[in-house]
Amino acid sequence: MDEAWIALRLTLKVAGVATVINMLLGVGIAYLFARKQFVGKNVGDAILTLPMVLPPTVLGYYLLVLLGKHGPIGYFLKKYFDINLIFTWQGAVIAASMVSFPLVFKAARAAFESLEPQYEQAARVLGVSDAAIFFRVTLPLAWRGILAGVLLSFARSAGEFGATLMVAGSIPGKTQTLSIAVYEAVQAGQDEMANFLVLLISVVCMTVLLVSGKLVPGRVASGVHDHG
Amino acid sequence: MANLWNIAVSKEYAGKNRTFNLDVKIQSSAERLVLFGVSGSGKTQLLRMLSGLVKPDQGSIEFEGKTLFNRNAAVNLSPQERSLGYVFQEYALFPHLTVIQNIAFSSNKGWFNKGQSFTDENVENWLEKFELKNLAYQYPHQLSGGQSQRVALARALVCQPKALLLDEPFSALDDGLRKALRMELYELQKQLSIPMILISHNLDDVRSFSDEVIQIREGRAISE
Amino acid sequence: MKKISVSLLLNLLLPIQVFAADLTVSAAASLTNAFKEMAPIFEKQNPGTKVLLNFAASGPLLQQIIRGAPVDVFASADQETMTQAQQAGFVKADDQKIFASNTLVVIVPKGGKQNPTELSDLTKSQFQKIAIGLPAIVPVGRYTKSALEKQNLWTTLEPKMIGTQSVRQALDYVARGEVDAGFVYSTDAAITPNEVKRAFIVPTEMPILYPIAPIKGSQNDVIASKFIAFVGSTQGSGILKSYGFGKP
Repeated sequence: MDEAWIALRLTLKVAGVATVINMLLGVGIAYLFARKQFVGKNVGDAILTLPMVLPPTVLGYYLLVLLGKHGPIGYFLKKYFDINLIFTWQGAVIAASMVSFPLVFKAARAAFESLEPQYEQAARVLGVSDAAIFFRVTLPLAWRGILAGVLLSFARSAGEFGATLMVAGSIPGKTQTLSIAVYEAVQAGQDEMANFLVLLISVVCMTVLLVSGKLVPGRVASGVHDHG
Repeated sequence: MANLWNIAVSKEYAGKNRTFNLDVKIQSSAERLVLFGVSGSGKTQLLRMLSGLVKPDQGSIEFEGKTLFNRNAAVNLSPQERSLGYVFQEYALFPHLTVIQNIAFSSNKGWFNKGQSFTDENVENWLEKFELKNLAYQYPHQLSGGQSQRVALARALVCQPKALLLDEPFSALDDGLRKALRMELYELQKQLSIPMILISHNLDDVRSFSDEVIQIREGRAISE
Repeated sequence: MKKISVSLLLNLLLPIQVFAADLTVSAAASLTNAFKEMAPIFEKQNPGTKVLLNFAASGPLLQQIIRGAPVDVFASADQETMTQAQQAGFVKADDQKIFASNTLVVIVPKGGKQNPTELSDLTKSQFQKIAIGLPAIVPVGRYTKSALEKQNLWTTLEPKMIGTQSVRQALDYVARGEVDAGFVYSTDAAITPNEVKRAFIVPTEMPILYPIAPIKGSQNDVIASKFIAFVGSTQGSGILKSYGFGKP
């Protein structure tokens, strides 16, 4: 069952890194969308949500074409940085991050938009800079809604299969995540291994749910203290 | 004598069925100016424009001879740059911060809120003046209407603003409290002698507090 | 118009198996092109029959059958998988027929500078990634492994290996240039001549033989036998030959 533990460690690593990337990018971009006006907002939102709706294998194919040796991004990376993302855990992170990005983006955008504007306005009139307001007022009031999205993103990243398989392949210790390991165990008729892996995945998911229940009890939409 | 306030602004608000046009000209040197009118007449919008939270379509705003906004000259100072205090109708106290943290909010311009133990002379001064010392570590949702209003006022005054804008500060209070706080505000204004603009739809506020009233009706200013 | 409505009426009135039979054929990935060409011809010769083709590596195909997938015919890329099917009780020993053979080759991306001529060349540093079907589930992977083990190269080359889910995936990786070399059948190498280049043939311990058999208990055993006969007929083997398959 060594392979199972290796797959678990790898899954947690890939999902963890993907989630951190999504948190930083998702929250930042969501804030722009929630607070600024600009042309093409609706189209932008649709494009950013697309990876969640696209079949994972389609997304995986796009990534393979873009990041591959002869692809526009892959060629550039290889030539100037000697980086090849196919068959690497970093490639798996990109695949996982793309499919679950919309979960953080949408949750953060909703959290920011549901915040009553008067708090940020009050802070502005009090002379605090817009950047400081984001950290001192906006984020503390919106964090619950954002966290709900972040946890969903982690769970989705941990379960990513279709896109990962295409882009990262299935290399034990490097890119064979738990979902892929289950798939292969079933294909090979290794029921015992498959059962054990499924148990591991279930434990991971249950843990995420329990943690989220502790951190984000009850209402997660408004992020404002309940008034007595 | 030059006017304290030199305001000439207009803005069009496109609604679902109708368009609301705000077109206001005010020249006043009153210490306690009251903008009087029914809800929906545009008073709050005007106050927002003065504070820099809303940008007018056309016009200019001058205070104490300084240009805060001028469309033609492309001047538009951010709220942070205007040094005008603002008390919101619903107080807008930060729900995640204690009373003392709310009041001390503007003392620190950094990216992180100070801890519970932070205080300075200014903050202590206002805590004492408004008798809020024993409420210092309460959260806004634990306060009564009158207490919240005082905290909002203290918070606005800590940064030593050049003027104070108040949006219906007494509307959520009962008559007795209203009278008391209005009196307090009057005394405060006299003490600090900073100009105040107060929005109200209550005639008593007009009678007892103001030294000038401007009626705002359907987006237009009507002097009395 | 009239013709269609008459046959529609007949379809409704005559619940005989001869009409509207769906034949499910699970075939190894390397048989994709050949079987896709054979299916419409068979359908024409047997009006009313629709051939449903299901391609994947032989291992997963067997797992599907074991778990109850309604398969009528199974064609695998090695005897081992077919024997497993027999042991699991899905295929009778007498029903199996060898219908084609193949050779194992090493391919490299076309336009690449590599030109290996023998297995030991792959140990060189210019071969960083080598695509090989996962031996646990893909026959071509098993053939490769035994060939490499024979020359004591398996353990040396294992760190460079990128395991694929089927032989066609290995072909795709070489075609894209994502790997430096790959092990596929010579019939697969012929599919994409513009992207891959055959480097050399790998001698295998056992000959690469393709068995085909009807699945026990299928509802369409009559049509299944007909299909298997077709595959082995002059016409069927002619099609297989055109794709590079050898005689059984």
